[in-house]
Amino acid sequence: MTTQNKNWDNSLWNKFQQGDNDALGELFQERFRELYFYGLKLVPVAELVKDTIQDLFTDLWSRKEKVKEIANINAYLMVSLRRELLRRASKIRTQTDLDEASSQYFTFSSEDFIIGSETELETRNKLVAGLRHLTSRQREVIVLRFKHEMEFKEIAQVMDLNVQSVRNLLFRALEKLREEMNVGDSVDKQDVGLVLFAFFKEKIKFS
Amino acid sequence: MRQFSENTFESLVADTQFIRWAKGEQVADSQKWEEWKKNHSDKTREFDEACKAVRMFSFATPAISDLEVDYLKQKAFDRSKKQRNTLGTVVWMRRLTRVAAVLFIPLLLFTTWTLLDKKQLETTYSSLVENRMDEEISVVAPIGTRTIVDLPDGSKVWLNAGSQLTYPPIFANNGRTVHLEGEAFFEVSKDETPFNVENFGPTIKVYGTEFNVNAYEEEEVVTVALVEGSVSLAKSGGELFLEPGEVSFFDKSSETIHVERKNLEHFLCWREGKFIFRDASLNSILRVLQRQYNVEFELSNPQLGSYPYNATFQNESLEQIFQLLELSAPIQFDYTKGYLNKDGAYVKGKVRIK
Repeated sequence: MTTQNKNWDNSLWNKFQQGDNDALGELFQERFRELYFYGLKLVPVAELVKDTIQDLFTDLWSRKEKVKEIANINAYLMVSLRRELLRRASKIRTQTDLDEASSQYFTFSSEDFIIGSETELETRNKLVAGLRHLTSRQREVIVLRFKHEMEFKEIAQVMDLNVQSVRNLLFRALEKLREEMNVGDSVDKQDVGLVLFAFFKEKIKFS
Repeated sequence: MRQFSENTFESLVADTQFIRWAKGEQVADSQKWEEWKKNHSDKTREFDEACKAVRMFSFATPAISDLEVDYLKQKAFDRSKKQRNTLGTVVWMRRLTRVAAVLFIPLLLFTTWTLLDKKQLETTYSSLVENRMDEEISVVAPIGTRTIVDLPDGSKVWLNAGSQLTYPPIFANNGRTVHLEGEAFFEVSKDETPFNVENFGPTIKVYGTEFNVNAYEEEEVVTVALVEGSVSLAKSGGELFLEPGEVSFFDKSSETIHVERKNLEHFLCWREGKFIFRDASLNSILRVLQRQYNVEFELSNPQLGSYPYNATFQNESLEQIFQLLELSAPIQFDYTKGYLNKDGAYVKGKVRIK
């Protein structure tokens, strides 16, 4: 749904840094849905996520001296939201809940994906099934890259990894996903080209 | 079939502009990727797969209306205004706390110091009063010297040569009593508590301030000369008051006393190193000189001692005094100066009078 590029974000941010409170309001409207999506995948409590996002912005509005230090607002919001949400969630969860919860981060159902001409229903169902075989961090890196369009450097910040680890994590996740989605597939189906990542299979054949 | 280039696929997925274009978002140069595909005909497969991968992850954004987003935004902004106010208060309170802390430290130190100091003083005082009342202080003006003593109540005492003043380190509330052997001039500070001078004669009760006492052990007579204020001489229940300008003479052997109005100068001048003798026997002059100059006299004929003299000396050397006395009487002084013997002990000067 994001139709603006990153430069647009930064120009709003720069305006706010120069004292324009409305610019941060615009940024709120622009970024809210993405943050909300990401937050819900971490902690599926809508009100908690909404509150936390609001608090992040409230904080920026009221603590101008802090604002000057933030160069990359996009990464800042994601890092802060992740940290703050997990902190707050830990208060409302017992320890056993927490252990279960971490594996439940970034779980997806078919409602999470747009059904369009590009993605057929069957593929989507396979995708949802395949994603279940990934670790929560593998799912998170996919979301950050494809949904939020974050650069590897930014993802590294959010997930507290180095850039190379992010790359490895992402491409290993894609490879694993492809394997899971191709289980039980016939060669015919590959030819139809409905199954994505078929190339991986070929790659293995040839290598 | 050509091997699939993982690198090409990965570099496309790593390109955010490509992801946006593949998602169908508006990008600055949408033509770029169409052209890339054309120019890299050998990598069409990688390109297509990358597109498919991106498009597969077409995550749906949770349904939330623009109105709700606006509402949430407004709420967050309003909260920030409140928070800014409380933040301002908090900052102000923090500064105040800091100031208070900075002020508190010296205050604490000062209070502690004052309390400790006061306590220490009290302790010192009470221990002195309790334990050291019996340990009296003695100040001696040795022969040949004069001394000034400051008493604990602020009174001042000039001690003449060969005199000793004994007093307690702290005057108790029931009285200020000092003991004098010799001659002293007193300047007593005003106080409710009575000031007494014990001596070889009657105890002097002081009601005023300045007076001289001459009460040497070797002298027959104790004299008290009152300059200012009021003193009394107390002896076996009776009390004799002196008026300024009066001098009392107490005869130690007969224990009789008489008071005369005298020129006080004669009784006070010793403080300036001056000695005035009027109708004084040679013996009494020699006793003064013994104390002032630390010499011993030896009379070849005891009758010479009762010879009366009128003389005034001021800061003169012993030899000069002898010359003056020789001039006014048929006597001769044979003076052997004092010296240190082999043991380092001082041997007094000796004067033989013929």
